[in-house]
Amino acid sequence: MNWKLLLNSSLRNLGRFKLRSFFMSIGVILGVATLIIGSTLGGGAAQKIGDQIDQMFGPGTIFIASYELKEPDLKAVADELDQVIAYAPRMMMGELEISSAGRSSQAGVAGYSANADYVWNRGVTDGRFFDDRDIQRAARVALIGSKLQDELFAGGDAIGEEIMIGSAPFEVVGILEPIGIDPHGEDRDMEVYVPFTTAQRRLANTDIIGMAKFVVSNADLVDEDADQIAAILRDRYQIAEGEKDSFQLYTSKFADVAAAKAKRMLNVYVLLAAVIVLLVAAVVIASIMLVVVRERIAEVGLRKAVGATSGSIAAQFLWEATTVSMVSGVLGVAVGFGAAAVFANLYEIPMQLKPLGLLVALGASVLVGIVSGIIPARRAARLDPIEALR
Amino acid sequence: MIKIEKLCKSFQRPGEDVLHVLRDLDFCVDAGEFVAIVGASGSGKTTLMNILGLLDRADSGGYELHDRPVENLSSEERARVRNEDIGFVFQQFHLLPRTTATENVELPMLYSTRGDTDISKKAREALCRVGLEERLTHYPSELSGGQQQRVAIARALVNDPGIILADEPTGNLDQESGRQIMNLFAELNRNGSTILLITHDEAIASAASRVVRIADCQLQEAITRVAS
Repeated sequence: MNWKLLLNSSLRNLGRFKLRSFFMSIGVILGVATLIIGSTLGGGAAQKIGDQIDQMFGPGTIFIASYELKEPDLKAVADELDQVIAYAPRMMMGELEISSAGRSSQAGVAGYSANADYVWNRGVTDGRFFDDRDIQRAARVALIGSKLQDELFAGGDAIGEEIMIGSAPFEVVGILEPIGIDPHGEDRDMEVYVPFTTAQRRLANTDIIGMAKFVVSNADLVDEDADQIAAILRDRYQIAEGEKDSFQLYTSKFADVAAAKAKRMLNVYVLLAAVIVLLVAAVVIASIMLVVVRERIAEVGLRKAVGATSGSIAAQFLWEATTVSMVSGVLGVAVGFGAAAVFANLYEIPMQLKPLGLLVALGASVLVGIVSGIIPARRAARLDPIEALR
Repeated sequence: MIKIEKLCKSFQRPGEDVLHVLRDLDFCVDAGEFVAIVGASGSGKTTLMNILGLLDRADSGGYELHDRPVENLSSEERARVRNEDIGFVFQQFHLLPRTTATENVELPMLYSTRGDTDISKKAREALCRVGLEERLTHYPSELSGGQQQRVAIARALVNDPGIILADEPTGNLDQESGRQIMNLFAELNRNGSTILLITHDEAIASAASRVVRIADCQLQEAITRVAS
């Protein structure tokens, strides 16, 4: 048997039916690309989720969210519990129109206290953070994200400049540390921070804060501390025994568990998606190859008449299916890296090159070819040459 | 070359009586002969051809090809005999579409165990022998029926088989092309090829040096002529 020439002639066959080869390829390309995207971005994405959760929580922290939360509640908790090292409110105002010298933009506005740089893990890269005087006087000062600065001031320095939040004028005193896009898809470099007292009195006219964060002394005891905070809040809000909390508490321990779970689910979903796509690809290739065998019955008969054994007929069709799949696998790797680069750029995720991921992706394409080729190859090999040549 | 003794073949179709196609058939072909088997349709000539070509097995009887019994060969061994000792020519040509004349002729060499190194050169030589040196890279769709059948004959010749089995080779051709194909067979026979032709057409059969009639599951020798 002249295998080299036989394999060459199968390859030429694929070139002769370009549209059909394309349909056979597309599933494998997508499946392999998914695997490549997963392997190059999965680690970076998980790392990013972890980083952002760390940024938001940090060790030994408790997060409170409630529609009734006011500043005296926070003070009461801090007074009662010795283990509370610090606390800081976060008063979310939603998207407001921000403008300056004819330029305007929509940006999320939030009220913070003077120690928020420590408690909420975000300081300034330029200018200054809020001080106690700003908070006491409800000063019209603002910190803005770096992207918002670029949008409003076209790359120029915003510190000392005036911006309008809605119709209220504020002085920019600092530029916030860049964070990027958070897991909810919000661009945190477009945010505006103002003193929470200013937000209460001059922007929202309410003393509801909505959200706050506590830092406690022992990170291992956050869950116990959270129970104590819950008890204090239930007491203050006069929630009867058996009634549900009107507030939510999240601890850094809970966040760690959630982050680990998110990382795990990310990998599982990517793998699951790739496996499903590749299974579908195998079914598509198998069914197209079955049609091909039917279409080429006379060819199979002729090949047997001129000396092809059942084995070489099977090998030919198996090889054709595997070739399509392998070539598609290589294309899929290219598509995958391309797409990963685009996503990495778009969502600021670091890319990792994993040789194992590449190997698994290419191996999967070979496997798909073999699995999908077996049934058509057997059917072709079993054809009776007399019937086939009739 | 071919020696057949007491060959029997019958078919059993569901719900019908057993149909005897060949019964106690004896037949010999010597090397260098040009034999025509004539018979009406349904007389069993294609069944005989399939058995002679090792595409089908007889129910009983002996078959020696090149002094070697072939009735008990495995399917791999039969494939090898078809590849090396038999060249087929069919009524429908059976060329691979979208494949050049040369590549079509190369096909038997792909399955050969001889390890030919320059199969493309051998294929071109075979195409020259059938007068198609001008059509080496043409596709079947670009060739006339007579030319396509010549490609098929070149394919049958290319592995230097002991015998060429041609089943109604002119059945799909016009009269002139058919005559040229028969002349080609006669020429190949003069140059030493053994040819076994199956046809229903007495006029076509007359090109052969020996004509055998198949009827009632048996073969009968007809007029024997001296090869010129």
